[in-house]
Amino acid sequence: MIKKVLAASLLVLLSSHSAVADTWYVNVDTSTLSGQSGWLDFQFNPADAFAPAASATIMSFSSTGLMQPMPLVSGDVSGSLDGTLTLGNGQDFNGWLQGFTFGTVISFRVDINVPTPNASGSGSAFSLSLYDSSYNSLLADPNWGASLVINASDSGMMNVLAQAPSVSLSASPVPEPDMAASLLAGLGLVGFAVRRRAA
Amino acid sequence: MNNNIGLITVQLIAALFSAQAGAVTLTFIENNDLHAHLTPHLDKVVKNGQTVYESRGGLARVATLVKQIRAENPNTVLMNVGDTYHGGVEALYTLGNAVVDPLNALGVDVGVPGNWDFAYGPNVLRLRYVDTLTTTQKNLLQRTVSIAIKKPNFPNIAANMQSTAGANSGGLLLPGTLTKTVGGVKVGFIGLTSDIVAQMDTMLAAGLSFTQGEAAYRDLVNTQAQTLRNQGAKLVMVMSELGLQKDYRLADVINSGAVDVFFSAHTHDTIFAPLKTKSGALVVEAGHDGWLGRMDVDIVSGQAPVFNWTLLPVDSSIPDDPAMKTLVDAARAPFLVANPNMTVPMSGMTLKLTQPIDTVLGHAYAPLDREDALESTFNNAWTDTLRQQTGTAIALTPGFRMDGPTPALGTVYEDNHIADGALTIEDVYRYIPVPYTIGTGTVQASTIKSIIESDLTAVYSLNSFAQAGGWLNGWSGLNINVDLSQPDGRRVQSIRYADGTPMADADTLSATGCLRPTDTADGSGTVLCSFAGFSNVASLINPATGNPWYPQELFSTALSQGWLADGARRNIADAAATPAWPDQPFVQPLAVRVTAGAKLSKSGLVYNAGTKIYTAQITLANTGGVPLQAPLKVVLEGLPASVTVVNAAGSYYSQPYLKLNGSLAPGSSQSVQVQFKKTSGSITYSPAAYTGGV
Repeated sequence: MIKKVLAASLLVLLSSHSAVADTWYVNVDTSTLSGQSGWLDFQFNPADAFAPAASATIMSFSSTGLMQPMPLVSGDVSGSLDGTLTLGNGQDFNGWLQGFTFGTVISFRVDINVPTPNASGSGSAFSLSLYDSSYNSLLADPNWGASLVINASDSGMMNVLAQAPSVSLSASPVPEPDMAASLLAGLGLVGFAVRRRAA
Repeated sequence: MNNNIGLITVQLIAALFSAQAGAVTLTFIENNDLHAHLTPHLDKVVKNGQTVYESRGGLARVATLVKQIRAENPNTVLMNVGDTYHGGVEALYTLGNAVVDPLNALGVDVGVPGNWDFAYGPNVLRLRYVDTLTTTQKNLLQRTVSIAIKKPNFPNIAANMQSTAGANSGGLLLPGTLTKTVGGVKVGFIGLTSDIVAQMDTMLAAGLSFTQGEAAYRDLVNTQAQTLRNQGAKLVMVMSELGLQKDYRLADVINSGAVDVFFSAHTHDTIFAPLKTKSGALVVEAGHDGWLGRMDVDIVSGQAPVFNWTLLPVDSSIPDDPAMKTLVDAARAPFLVANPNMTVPMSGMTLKLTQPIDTVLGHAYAPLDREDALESTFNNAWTDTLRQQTGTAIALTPGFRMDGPTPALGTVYEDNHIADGALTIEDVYRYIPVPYTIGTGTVQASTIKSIIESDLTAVYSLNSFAQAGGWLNGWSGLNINVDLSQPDGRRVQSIRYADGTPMADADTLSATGCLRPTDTADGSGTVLCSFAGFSNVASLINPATGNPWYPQELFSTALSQGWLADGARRNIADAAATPAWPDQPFVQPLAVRVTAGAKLSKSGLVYNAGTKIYTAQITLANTGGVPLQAPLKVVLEGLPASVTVVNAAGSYYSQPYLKLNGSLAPGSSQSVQVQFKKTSGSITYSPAAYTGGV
């Protein structure tokens, strides 16, 4: 039984990257763009008005670049990138366009929530695009023109539709070596707790 | 004189320049599915999005058009493809002879027989088409036919029809190919006649066999095309009575570059823009006798030929060619006398013509036609009339395409004519040009269900080679629910009787239908309307003649006495709501909307500030228990005019679509990306899955 629980826990950890997690840790290697001026484009747009209400909350944004003042904000958006930025899907287009001088890396956490899923068939997509100052795409998946696209389906299922090579993505913060030890210990505790309940 | 010298000089210079450049334009005229229509008749056509009645067809108009085209370009080839000598009253009472003199005067270069050209029997077929008969053979055959059979004065070809009897057993009955040098260019023609002759009646295919199946046709066309190319053919044209669906499939699977153009016939599809295929061959079809197809081919030495296709309406704007009109009038004259006093000249036939064929028998107070593949007003009116006469539980009639659309009395049509709804003897034979008789029998309900299911396969199968090219049979006494998006054998959803009672498999029904000359009709027969599984089949006797009752007789009586049923009812419902002509771009439905067992979902939109393109992903999941069969497409329905799809693969019913790859197994899914641009408003659309089609 313990083996099964441990196996299941590891499976969740290993598979969470692809689909079901609603929290994502994003790291973009912009070292090839360092010093270049351009734009960061965060969007969270529904397929249509039938998509269930949803939000994408960006927090812990950090970079070695420089944010320019006066971002261009459209639609259902609140907060700010240097604190907590929430993009809702209440409008056709919901975006935060941030003037930016690129450094070597960008990282942030995004929580995507679909509190009341439905069966409309319509999802909402969170995206990050990087442009130069003339809005030419940078570090983009060629099919989407964006560096990262995560879709929240009508049922709340998350799917990564586009991820440029420079983007690394995980469902949890990248663990430090001591954190890995804590994780294993935690798994042991989970197994112990289940064993106790079974008894 | 000086002017003449100048003109000749200019012509010589032009000819020299043309020769030096190695440039020439060849014109191929496709005249398909004449159906023995010598004179103009009303037809339903789509103009500016509206379905209207127009005067169409008539060989005197066709002759004018052909002469115009030949005057424009002497390097012209006239092809006669498909049903030619059958389909009208003059043809039936002369076994097709009435068509021969006018058609021969048209100057046809090459022809291919259609399935209905076999309908007068195997001996008439040989007398008409085979040019290699010995005098003895000809005399022996002619002894079995009561009138002398006239022959076309142009070669007919059929590479898919083998002789199975006599000294030529194993060989082709007609030459399979023809080469012709036009404008200095050698052109090869491959003929493919109908391969459903034995399904019409095995007697009609006596001593013959026909190539069957996709692989056999692929190999046949590849081999013949290669032979023609080896003989120096610069162009290879296929003239085919297989029908658009089979030809389109065939053009996809043959060798790349083997064939240049398939000139299709049989299915009467009006192809305004050539269909492109994987082999590079174009596929076209010029409707039926209301149209002429024109394919101009520009050939420049060292360059790929350039093809330009135009469909020319044979309408009232085309003046009659006087010489052809004289020939047509002569062919029809015996049918316009007070009492033609003719009997169909086939063994055992008692169907007679005793009034001029322009005699008005009665009037249609509701439109009559066979213009809908699933259920037509004529078939409804006719089967209801049969049941009124016989009192059987159900009636059925064959799914012919042949008709002469009749607007209801009072309908305003071309040039503000007001239709009087008149139906003449000639019209009766346009709807029913075959000498079958009416019969009754009994049948189990389970057999009826199987018949309808097999019929649906023959009309709607995604396997083109399972299609026969006709419409669904007409039915009376049944309410039939179908789902055309389902695979072969699963399309019938439920059947109820006219009173709403569900039909149970074990029920025994009485039925009225049709009998071919070879069917047993003495009360012990088992075949009705060519379907096996009936019992107690017997001829219905016409009390006026004491002979088996012909449908033309009953139709005429019902019209003249005013009790022809109104065919406006709708008793076949399709859950997939598959549009029929004229909403469909093709007469034959080629794609069906998937309504069950599929879920479509769409992602949110991503906007690119540089390209100003919105991108999304559409996913089709097969949630049912059967595969969704290729080709699959996602049609974007309800898209506002302010939004365009940048990466559309094409448009369907004026709505953009995207293609998926292959079939979709149960439980699997496939995604396709869609890109939009908009000028204003929201991007709203409903994705719909379609299976089958072009």
